[in-house]
Amino acid sequence: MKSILSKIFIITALTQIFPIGKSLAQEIYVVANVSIGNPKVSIEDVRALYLNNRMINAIDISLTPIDCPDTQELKDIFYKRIANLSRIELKRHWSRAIFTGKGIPPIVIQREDLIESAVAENPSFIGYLSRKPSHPKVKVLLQIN
Amino acid sequence: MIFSGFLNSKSTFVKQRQLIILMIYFLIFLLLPQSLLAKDSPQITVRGFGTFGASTLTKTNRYLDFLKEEDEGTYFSPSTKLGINLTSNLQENSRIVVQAIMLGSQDNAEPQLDLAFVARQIPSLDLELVIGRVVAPIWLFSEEQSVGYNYVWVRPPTELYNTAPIRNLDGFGFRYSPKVSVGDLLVQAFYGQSTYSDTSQRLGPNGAGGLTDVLSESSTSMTEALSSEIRYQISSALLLRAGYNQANISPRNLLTTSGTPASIALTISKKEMAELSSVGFSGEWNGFQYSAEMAKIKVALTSIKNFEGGYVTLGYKYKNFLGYASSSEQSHLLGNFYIVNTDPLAAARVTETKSMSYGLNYYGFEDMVLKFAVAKYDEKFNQVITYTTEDNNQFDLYSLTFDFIF
Repeated sequence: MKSILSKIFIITALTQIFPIGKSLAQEIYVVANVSIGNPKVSIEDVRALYLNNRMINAIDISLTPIDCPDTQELKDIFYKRIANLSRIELKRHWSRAIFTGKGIPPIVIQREDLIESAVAENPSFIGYLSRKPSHPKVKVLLQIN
Repeated sequence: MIFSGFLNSKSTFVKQRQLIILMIYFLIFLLLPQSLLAKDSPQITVRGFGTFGASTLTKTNRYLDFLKEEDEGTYFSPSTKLGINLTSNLQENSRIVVQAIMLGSQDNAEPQLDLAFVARQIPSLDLELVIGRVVAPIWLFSEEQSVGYNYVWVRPPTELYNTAPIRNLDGFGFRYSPKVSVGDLLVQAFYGQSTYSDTSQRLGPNGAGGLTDVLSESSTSMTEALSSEIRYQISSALLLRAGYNQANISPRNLLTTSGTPASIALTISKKEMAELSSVGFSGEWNGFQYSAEMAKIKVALTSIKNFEGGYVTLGYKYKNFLGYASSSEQSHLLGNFYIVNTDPLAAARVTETKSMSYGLNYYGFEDMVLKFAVAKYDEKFNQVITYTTEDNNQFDLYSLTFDFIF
């Protein structure tokens, strides 16, 4: 019993010390309003939308990407997976876009439940969550792992 | 602490007044209520950038007398600047952008309008229409030239970047940015005129900057200007670019001011058509960072030979440090001229300039880059009136800057 407890303690401690392990396991769900149908969306589409505000070919309407705040680890994982960008590289990307007048970053909504609500209420919003959406008007467009 | 050392130097060129004004602007901005900044509001985005910098010049074989005394010492203001950008979504797919820059090298440090345009996106065509004031896309880093945070150098290679006598265009244009094959294409073109002096963007204690950004000013206007470029970004490892610019250039007040006007400007004594074409690339791969550009300028004056110039930069990033070396060269018979304040005939025409720069940057802070660089210049010149038997001019420029965004 003692050895089991000590193993649990060590594993728990390690996951706190090395949160990267948790990050690697993190599923990310790109979500949109159910009204957009069942388009086939790729990681490249999501990257182009979030970084260049480019339309997704399979979707007729112009989507507005919604982002997490800088403080959330989910945001770091999301951009690492879709574009292999670190937080500083992402800042540099937007610094280039903003100060040359070519674009501005996505709208930021502070909490995941609020992102889900916003997507449910607005058919042109697209966001990403760390869990499957629970709202009936929100569907998963793409799962990134 | 570092700055106080520079401020306490005995230089006659440390313009503390401008610096204080600039710092007051910065403090006011920092003290603005958070609600006004509204960084993440969908309606308006307020962002900023800036540089605190100092430079010092060491030299040998300095040719002109006026440079010998006045330009010695440490310059606090030349690289120091503060920019504020406001971007607002007017409605879906439309936005208005206003950006102002305050330069420490200016006498009054008043904000100057750098961007002021309305853009209308047509997403289905990957097209954006723009009307207003833009930064002319003359070079690879033209549009972000004021934002030191975005590039590796303390300043982009002056042999190339200072040859274009303008920065902004007032007019209209478009950006076409489709995905093509494995990369992102950007084609942009603007047509308009430049009605204000280039001195605002050329850094230096007297308002401009010329070759070393510690020299002085010129003034130029341009009409019927076309500025265009094509970029193809394959990945972060490779960005390819080609640009073409043409304009009617009219120099103003060239012989009543001192220093080095942009090379293309002084050559032309009246309104002349000039063309500037350039190619370049840049990228990052496995810690390596690289960029190179070369350009050619043609002026519609048959007696004048073309300008040619270029640079190559190679750096390597290890953890938070980036070291780099950059080699630049220009050769021409267009300029740059050195002109003495009181005697327009006391001029020397620089026919060849080479420089080698070495820099070390520190990226340990998320929103700031600390940069140190040494640039070694070697100029060859022809004298209009012989002052000296020397036919070259060598000097070193040491610079330290903090580039930041907020």
